Amino acid sequence: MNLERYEVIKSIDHFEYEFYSEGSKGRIRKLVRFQPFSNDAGEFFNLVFGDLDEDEAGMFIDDSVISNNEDADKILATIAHIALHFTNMFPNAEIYAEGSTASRNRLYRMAINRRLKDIKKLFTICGVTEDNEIEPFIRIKNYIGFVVKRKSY
Amino acid sequence: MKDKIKGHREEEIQFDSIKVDPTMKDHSNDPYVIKKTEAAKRTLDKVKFPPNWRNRK
Repeated sequence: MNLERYEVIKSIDHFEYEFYSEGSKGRIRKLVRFQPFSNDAGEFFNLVFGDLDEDEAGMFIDDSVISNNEDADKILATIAHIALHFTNMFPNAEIYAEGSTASRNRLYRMAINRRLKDIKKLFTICGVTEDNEIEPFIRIKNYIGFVVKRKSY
Repeated sequence: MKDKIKGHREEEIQFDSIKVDPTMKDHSNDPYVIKKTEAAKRTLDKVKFPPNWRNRK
């Protein structure tokens, strides 16, 4: 998976990663955080992604803007790279990711489709359907969220 | 610096390591992180997980 991607820095605890998106709208600071949570099915890490902004109170994650920096593929490759690193640190982590909109989920599904062969070498991937079922990822289906886990060898 | 991991069929995959920035702020209490994680939990709480779902992946 030698795709073009951004240079990334991470926090000491490996839960947060930052990089700058560079495109037609300029330089935009991005954050990926793996936030742990649990339910009856087990423990998960929610993949939270957004723009980092600053006001008088300090840094915050801004989800009110659509960056549209014309670098979606490079951003998705960077997030995949981050997921690889995170699962090196936490190989049993089950990561949940969902887009903020249906169109974002379609974008994620298309990106997964393009690299499914490579992804499946390293990860198992499931989709959460609109009927609240979880199943192994199928290329042609729409999903409201995705659960990924690093394969063990 | 390159990290190495073992992948499918024992092929070796190399990737750049990621630098640690000790000054990075923790966003675990950011309202956006909390909102998105509550939404994720709500979604997964509704999912009918089969008993063996982890083995089906």
